[in-house]
Amino acid sequence: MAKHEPEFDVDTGATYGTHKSYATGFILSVVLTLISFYLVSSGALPKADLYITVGVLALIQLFVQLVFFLHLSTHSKASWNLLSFLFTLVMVLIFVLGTLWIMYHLYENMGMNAMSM
Amino acid sequence: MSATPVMNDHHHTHHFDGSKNVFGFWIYIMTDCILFATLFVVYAVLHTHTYGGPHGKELFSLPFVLTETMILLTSSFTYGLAMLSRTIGNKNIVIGWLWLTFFLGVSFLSMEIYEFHNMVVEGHTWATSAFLSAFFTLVSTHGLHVSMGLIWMLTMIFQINKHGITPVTKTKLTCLGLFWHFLDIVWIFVFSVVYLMGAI
Amino acid sequence: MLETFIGKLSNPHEVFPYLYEPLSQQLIILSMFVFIVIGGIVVVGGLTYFKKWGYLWHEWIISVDHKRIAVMYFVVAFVMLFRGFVDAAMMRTQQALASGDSTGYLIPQHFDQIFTAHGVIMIFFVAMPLMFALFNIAVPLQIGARDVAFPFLNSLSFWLFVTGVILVNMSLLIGDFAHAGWLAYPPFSELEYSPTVGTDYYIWGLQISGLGSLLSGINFFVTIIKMRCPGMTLMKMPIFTWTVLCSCVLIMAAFPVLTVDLALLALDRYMDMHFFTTGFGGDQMLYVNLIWMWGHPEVYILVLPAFGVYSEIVATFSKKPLFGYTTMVWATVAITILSFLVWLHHFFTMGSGADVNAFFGIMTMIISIPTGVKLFNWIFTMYRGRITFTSPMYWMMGFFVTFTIGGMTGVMLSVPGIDFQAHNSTFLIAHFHNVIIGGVVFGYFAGFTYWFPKMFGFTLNERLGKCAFWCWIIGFFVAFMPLYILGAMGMTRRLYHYDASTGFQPYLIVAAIGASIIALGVFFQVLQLVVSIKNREKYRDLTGDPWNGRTLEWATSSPPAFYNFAHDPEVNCIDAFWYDKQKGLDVDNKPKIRTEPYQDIHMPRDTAMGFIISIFVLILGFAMVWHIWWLAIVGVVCTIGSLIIRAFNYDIDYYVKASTVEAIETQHLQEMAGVKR
Repeated sequence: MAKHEPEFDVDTGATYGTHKSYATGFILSVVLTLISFYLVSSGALPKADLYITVGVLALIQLFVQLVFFLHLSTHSKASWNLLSFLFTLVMVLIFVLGTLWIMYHLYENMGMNAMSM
Repeated sequence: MSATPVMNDHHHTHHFDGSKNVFGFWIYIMTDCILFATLFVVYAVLHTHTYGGPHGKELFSLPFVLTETMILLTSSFTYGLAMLSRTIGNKNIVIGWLWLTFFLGVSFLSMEIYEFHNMVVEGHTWATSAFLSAFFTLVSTHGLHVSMGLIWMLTMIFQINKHGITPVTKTKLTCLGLFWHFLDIVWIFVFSVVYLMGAI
Repeated sequence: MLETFIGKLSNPHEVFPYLYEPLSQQLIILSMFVFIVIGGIVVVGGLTYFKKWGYLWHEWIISVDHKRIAVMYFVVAFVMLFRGFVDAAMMRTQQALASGDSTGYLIPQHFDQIFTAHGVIMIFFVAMPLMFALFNIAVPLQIGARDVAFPFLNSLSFWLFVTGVILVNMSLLIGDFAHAGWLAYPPFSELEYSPTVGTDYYIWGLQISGLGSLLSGINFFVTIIKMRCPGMTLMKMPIFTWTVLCSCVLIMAAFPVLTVDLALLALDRYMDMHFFTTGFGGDQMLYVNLIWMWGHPEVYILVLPAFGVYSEIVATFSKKPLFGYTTMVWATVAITILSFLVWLHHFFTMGSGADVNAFFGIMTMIISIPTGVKLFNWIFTMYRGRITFTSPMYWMMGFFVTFTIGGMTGVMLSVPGIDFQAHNSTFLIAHFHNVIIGGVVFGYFAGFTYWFPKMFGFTLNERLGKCAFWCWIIGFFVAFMPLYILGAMGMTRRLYHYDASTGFQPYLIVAAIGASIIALGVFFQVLQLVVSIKNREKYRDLTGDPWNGRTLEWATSSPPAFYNFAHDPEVNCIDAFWYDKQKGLDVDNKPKIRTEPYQDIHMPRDTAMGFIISIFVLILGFAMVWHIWWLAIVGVVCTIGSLIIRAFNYDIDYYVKASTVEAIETQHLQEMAGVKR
């Protein structure tokens, strides 16, 4: 996260970060991607753990890019950006988890084997 | 999306205020998030519906996709560098970074098309199974967004060349930047959910 | 060879399916043809005779003024309301006749298209545009803004909506329309079972107008967040603006899901994909799941602004501040969130299991609580108010009764066990018409009457408005109460023909009589418009504030000058305009007489781009429906090309000179003074 007061551009109302922040974001993203890739291609972890790890690493990278590339901050000037993002996140969770829950139970109840479909 | 610069009504100065546009574009991106989330959940539901056809594991080449990922990630970084150069006001540096970003985007897209082409040649098309329909649709929707971003980037290069770095072009560049970084984030999830998890 | 050039247009069976139908059907089609042709000749001839083409182009088509766009939304929506209503009347007639040996006067494939068109048109091309019309006329004025955040986008949204209207109505003349119901459930809507172009008209009409709706949602959201006048914090916003804000949030979260779902159906049909097909691993229920993920919020997208209209009306005509403003806001926000957690109640019978059904059933019951809060707030606002019983108040009180009944049957249906019995029966039909007509349509009619003088500078005839109201509400109950009974008797929806022994017919005849009483109501509404326009001098309102209103839109002239407010308004509380009037700060019903000099006003330039882009999108849609691939490519290239041309246009705004503002304002003040004397 930005340690000092972010600078808001007078023309666009946006913040742009610094060379340092972009470089940090870039390196972190590359490292996270490589870790995911290595874990999967080497099969170092059991299957179930692998799913969770790859998912968590993707979420971490989402956070990294949001902060360093999209400059999402908790600053009051950008509170609507943050609020709309959090709302969207809730919606995505409702849609994704809700649908998976519904469809999983449907297949379960109907005795459908998804592989054969 | 065409940006529509309108000045702030409340100050009777001739100063251009692009904050409304940038915020509006951010909101558009939020709706695009929902669009991709829907495609992801369709993929998640259908990814086992292979109908006797191939699974992801048999189709994906991880090193190839990793290269794609790195290219797109780098293009996101170079776009950031273009944005940082805007303060210097030297339009040629900005244009230079934009061209580099553009070519990285084109490389990414070409690799994606190459991958699709190979699958189709091997007989694994979108008509093979629900899984492949969902795969092709999700990945190519991202690709379509990238193509739109590339067209937009070309028009920005010409606009900056013509007008220089002005509040108006800066606002448009900021919107395109949001778009480009957003597409990078979407790709992280395509890479993780479709390719990596598909290969487990 | 011919097919490469004109696609499916080369097949006469596809283009003119009615040529191969019985004579009775051809007569129905022919009369519709004649009606459209005469209507077209009257409009085109009138415009030419009175030399109004230039006026139409300069003042309306290329206008980015939100007040003009509002009027255009109203016009198109009312024309479509007429068509949707004719569809309804045809269905009621068919069902009243088609008992036992008689099969009615329609063939099944026409009946199918009619019920599909009725649903599609009423929701997408009547309710949605009426809603956007109200957004456009009221929101910028209520928050003291000069226009919406993105005026060009607003114009584009409108014209994309019109494109959708044109595509859907084109199916009357060329080809057929979808027959798979208003939500086009697969596998019936798949190519295998619906090989004609009907479903493609449906898909492209909805995709294009849906894009317009999404852009409007974003536009008004940004307008409300970023363009409120000084002093207007969120909790000082007029309540209608609050409901619009929440409705926009719903649009932005829900419409992308519709876009995806329809796109996937299109890919199934066009690209031989297998999302929802019966074979190859496709899953129809996934479509149903997605369409209701959009569809349930859609109901609240429509009804929240109607709630906002009622809230404005009840406060104005009770001459009291709205009871429980804060609870009203939080109830609206609660509905916004909860409306995303109930979608499965539309397909309890799918068989997702007891725990899933129980969760969505309970959430459905919970969402009725904030709605109940609102109802009590309105009633308490009326309590001990000095109520003026105008026709908007009539619509509102009619809404109390109908919506409460509809809400209660809704809670009944939220119990999965009951739903299993009532699913797809006319009980459901009666329920949702009860909430949509009683809630949404009455609300929009009330809003139209309420803001009509703001749009045109004269009020509507009250007496005829009340006649229309009585016909609508009596007709409504006569038409839909029998459907509750029929549903309990086991009648399914969309029934083309039934056995005489079912005993359905008497009830269906009553329902048909109800529909004709509503038709009388529609007649009175048309008459009301004609009479009011004819006597507009008599109904003229020069004050700009005919109802003694409370919010900022009444603080400017009617119709407002294109810049809305000569001086930027400022507020310090809810209903600031009302309190200003109470304190006598206004002279001649004007907001505080401002002594400071007029200033230059910054305004967006009109542009034809929204219209032009929509023409290219129309070409694209038509080409896709008829599989004319080269033309579709032309459409895409031209659309993107014109967007680029627009992006290169940097001259999109200008300043209105202070002297011009002064001239307009002085003339208006003189007109008002002239009336006084």
